[in-house]
Order: sequence, then structure tokens, then C-alpha cells
Amino acid sequence: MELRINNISKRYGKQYALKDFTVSLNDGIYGLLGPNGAGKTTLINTILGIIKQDEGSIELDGKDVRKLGSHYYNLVGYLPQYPQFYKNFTCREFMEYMCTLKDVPKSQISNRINELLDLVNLSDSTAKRVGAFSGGMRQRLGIAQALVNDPKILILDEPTAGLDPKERIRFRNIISKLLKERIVILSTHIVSDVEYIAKEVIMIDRGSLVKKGTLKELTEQIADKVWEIHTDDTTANLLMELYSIGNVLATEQGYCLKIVSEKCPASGAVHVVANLDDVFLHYFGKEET
Amino acid sequence: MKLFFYELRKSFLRKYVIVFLIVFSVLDVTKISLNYYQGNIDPILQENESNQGAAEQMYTLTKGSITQDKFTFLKKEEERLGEIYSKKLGNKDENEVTYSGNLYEDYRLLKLYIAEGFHYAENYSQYSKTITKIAEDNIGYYKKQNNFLSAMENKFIADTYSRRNITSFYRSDAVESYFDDFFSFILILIMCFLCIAPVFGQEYETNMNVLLLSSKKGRIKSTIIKMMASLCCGAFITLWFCLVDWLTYHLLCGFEGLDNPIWALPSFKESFLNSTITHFMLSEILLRVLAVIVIVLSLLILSLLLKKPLYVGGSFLVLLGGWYLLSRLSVQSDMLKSLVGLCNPVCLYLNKQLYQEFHYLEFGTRFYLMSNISIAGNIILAVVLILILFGLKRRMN
Repeated sequence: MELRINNISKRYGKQYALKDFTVSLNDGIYGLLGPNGAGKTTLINTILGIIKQDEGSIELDGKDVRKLGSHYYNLVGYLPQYPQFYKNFTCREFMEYMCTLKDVPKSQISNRINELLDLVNLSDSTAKRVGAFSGGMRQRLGIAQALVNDPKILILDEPTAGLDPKERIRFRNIISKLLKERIVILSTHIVSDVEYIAKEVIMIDRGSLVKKGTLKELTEQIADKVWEIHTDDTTANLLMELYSIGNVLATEQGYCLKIVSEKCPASGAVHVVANLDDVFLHYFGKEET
Repeated sequence: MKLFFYELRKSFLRKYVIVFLIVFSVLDVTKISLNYYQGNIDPILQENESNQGAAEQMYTLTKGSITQDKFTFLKKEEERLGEIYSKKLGNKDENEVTYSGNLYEDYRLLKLYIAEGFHYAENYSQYSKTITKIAEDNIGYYKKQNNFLSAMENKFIADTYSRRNITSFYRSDAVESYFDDFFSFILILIMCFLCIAPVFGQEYETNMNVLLLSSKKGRIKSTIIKMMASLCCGAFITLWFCLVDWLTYHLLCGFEGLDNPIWALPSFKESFLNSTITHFMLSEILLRVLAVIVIVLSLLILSLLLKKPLYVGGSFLVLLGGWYLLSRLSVQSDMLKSLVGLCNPVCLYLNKQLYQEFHYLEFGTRFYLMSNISIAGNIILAVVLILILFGLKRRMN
């Protein structure tokens, strides 16, 4: 399956939310990374068909999704940002409601719900009201509802926001199970979520594609731009003002700084292995002075 | 059907809604009961116990079909007690018939609670003949003057009011009070607000709006079902309170003479309706449902636009206030003011005057009953509101 986004642009007034955005996606998990206001949600809403692009097209296996009409919605699953759902519904009622909305055949509803609640570890909470769910349980229910129609394109918008580390790990493990014959787009600004599970990372800023590639490709591209330096208090403060700092560690002698920079930030700085945080900082961090 | 159930479950089949429905129903019953026991519905209850018994006894002897015997009995009693009253003959001779133990009180009770209503029923056919005669005379006059519109109006009067009579006598206080009781309207409005205000707002609050938009049935179909569920909910609330009102009045006062024509109620003496009291009761319930449907549609639009229940509530109050003020313009000679006044749900719900008297508006060479204009106006308003609702939803999608 291939989802092609061809030169799409979306304007609000004179401001571009998406500008000439082009990307091609195949089965697997894609991390969509970008700072706040980069255009992630607009891109997601455009892929979902919630908003219409001003220019460009979105094609699924070579067919314009607009021409697929309502059939396209049956191919898409979505977990919105900060979902609350209906507090007075029980977990099962909510799932049944989503199955009805997404036109799941009646005969399959019960099995499908059992299967999905089992997958997200909510089998014991089917009769519990959604209002009584913790944030993590709600997110897991969110994934389950996104999967009721067995979507070919699954979009998760900030799925781990507000979750504690244990829930985030559990969440990542569930996502990893969903890879098969499916395009999963994971929009987040929590870099580590993407780092562990994404096949490729799409970096977006000001509505445009900044970079797309595997973790290895992206980190290799900035391999000579990540530095580590041990320094004293005064120099550390100065460097923090001038460069994008990936990490600050207090040591007995002063500080150990991880810096992302095109050039060597100071004498004594040495190259270290880059990670996705550094890639993020490189593209969206401080402009060097 | 399942989606419809879930829409009901989302906004209406909720604990707080059911609690409010029960509390408001109790409040409604309590209000009617208090009114009843204070004698505001049936003034006989303001009398002392012996007078109540006396009035009841007189009523038992006269109620039902108007026969010669009852007519003669009433006439004789009126004369006998009237004479005692006017000549101040005092109280009382041995073997004299008395109902309350006091002849003066008997006379007062007879005049106040029995004779007035009985004579109204008995004389109505004469009233009908007089009206018809005047109208028929007018037809000829206006035709000569080439005033065909007034001739048509008089023909309508002649046709409508001719051969009217009342064949049985029943006291009408309970039915009249039932028709005049609008307390439940306030409860219906509050219930509608509680149920409908969050319909669209909660989708935004819970972030479900985007989820709905990304699903096949979550777009227009879900809006249609939301609207249908809201309308059913509004209709149910209206029917429920109508039933509570009707049952409470019926159990407390015991409705009588419901098969009588509507003009048997003195406040409907000049009504153009040719139906029984029962039929009018049923039609009135349908009119109330129509009015509430328009109110529900307005609330849905406010919910879609303003989302937060507080804002929806504020605007709803302003809207109701506006409608109430406009409804007071309905029976006017100024056609435009009348039209504006008639085409709103508050007028349709509250303005009994439209059915109690013969009010009409002239358009060109024809005239139309204001009651019909109000019904048609509200149906048109409902259609317009539906179009606005879907137009807005489409834009917001």
C-alpha cells in the first residue's frame, strides 16, 4: 500500500499551514516530528479528509482519495490528541458506537471488540465507564477505537502526551504490534517515542517537509555535528546561550554539555554519536549566531 | 437505529437528566395540587365544608344532558331561593329544602357555581343564531358594496357558527385551568436546555468532533441522527409533561364533559373551532410538540455555534425573551407586526387567544386564520432552522 501526498498546500488567510508538502508512505510506522505549530495537525487533518487542501492531491495506491469518497473513511483509523470520549458510556458501549460509526458489519462487532480490548489490555474494564478511566486507559481505548475498522492508514496524534513512563512503554509496545500491512503515522514531539518504533521519520516545520529518512540516515547526516565538551560554569553558560544544547550534565569539574553545531563550538569539544534528539535539535533548535 | 440509540444515550439517557425529569414532574404535580387545594382551580374548594357539600349536591342534580326536568328544577330553585334572598325572608321554616343549612348561602352557591354555567349552555344556541343572523345580513350588505373579502369573512362566520348548541352541562373550571396552566412550559424549556445544549458542545469538549469527521457515518448522517434524537427528546419531554398535567388534573378534579364541543367552555365561546374538548386537547398537545420542535432546533443551532452550555443558556434566554415579547404582538391590526408575532414557537405554545376568538389576517383578496398562520409560520421556521443547522455544520466541517 502506498500513500502519496503530492505538493499539498493549505492556507489560512495569508498564512501557509502546509506549503508544497510532498511525501510518500508505505506500510510501516512513520514518526511525524516537528515543533508546535509546524503543521502536523493540519497535515493529519488533510490526510483524514477533515480539511481540504487548497492545492495538491493525496493518492492511495495511485487513486485520488477524494474520488474514493466515503469508502476512504473506512480505510482510516484515527486517535485524536487528548481524547476524552463520552464519559457516561461504558468501554464496550463506546467501542460499539465507534463500530457503528465506522460501518463494521454487525456480525463482526462483538468479536472485533473483544479482540481489540484484549490487544490493548482492557478486557477487564469493558463494563467500566470511560469517565472512570485513567489517562493511560483512555489512550489505549483510543487505539482500540482507531482499529475497529481494521484501517490501512492509522494516524495517532500525540498519543503519549500526558502518560507516565510505564504507560508510554506499554503504548509503544501496542503500536509495534500493529505494523502488519498498515501505514501508521505517529505524530508527536516526544522524540523517544519515535526513536524506538518508527521505520522512518518525517520532519516538518512551517508547513514544509524538512527531512525524511530512517533513524540511521538522519543521525548519520549529522554525525559530525554533535559534540561533547567538559567545561566550567562560565563557559557552559556562554555555550548554552550560543548553541543548541542536547544535554547538560553536572560533573565534579563543572558541566558536560552535548552540543549540536555545524562547527566545533569550543576547544576541547569532541564528536559523539548522534541520536534523534540531536537530529530534532539540529533542524528545529536554536539558529546559530 | 443503533446510532440513534447512542445519540440518545450520549445526551439524554443520562442520570442527571432522569433525576431532573423526576424532580420536575414532582414539582409540576405539587404546583397543580397546591393550586387545587387552595381553590385556584375549582373555587368551590374555597368554600367551607357544608357549602362544598351543598354545591356538590346541586351540581349532581343538574349536570349532564340538559333536560326539561333539570331546566325546570333549576328555574324553580332560582325563583324560590331568589325570592327568599330578595325579600330577606330569613332562615328557615320547618320542612324548607336547604342544601347548606343557610338559604342565603344556597342562593349564592346556586347562582355562582351552577346557574351561570347552566344558563350559558342553555342559551348558547340562541347566541349562535344571533351571530349567524348578523353574519348573513352582513354578507348581503358587503356584496352590495362590492366588498367581497368582508363578505367572505362573514360567510365563514355564518358557516362556522351556525347550528351550534350545547346539549349538556358540566362545570368547566378544571378544563379551563388545564388549558391556562403554562407552568409545565417552563419545566419543558429547562429540560430541553439540559438535554440539547450539550449536544454539539460535548463533541468539541471531548475531542470527538474530529473523530466523527474521520468516520463514514460521523459527518452528515450523525448530524441528522443527532437532530432526530434531539427532536424525539423534545417531543418526549413535551408529551411527558402534558401527560403529567393531564393525569394530575384528571385525578384531582375529574375532567367531565370532554365530549362537549369546545365552545361549551365559556372562554371558547367565540372560538371558530368545530371540535370537541377532547379533540382540542389532543390537537393542543400536537401544537405544543411543534412549538418545542422549533425551540429544540434553535437550541441545536446555539449548541453548534456557541458550544459552551453557559453561552448557549444565555443566548437561549435572550431568544425566549424576544419570542415572548414578539408573541404579544400577534393579535394586532398591523399585519407585519402580527406576522412577526405569530411565527414563533412561544406564540404557538402560549397564545390561546388565537383559538378562543376569530382572529385573521387579510392577504389580497383572501383572509387567513391567525392560528393557521402561526402553525404554518412555525413549520416554515422549523424547515429554515434545519437548513441553517445543516448549512452551518457543512461549513464547520
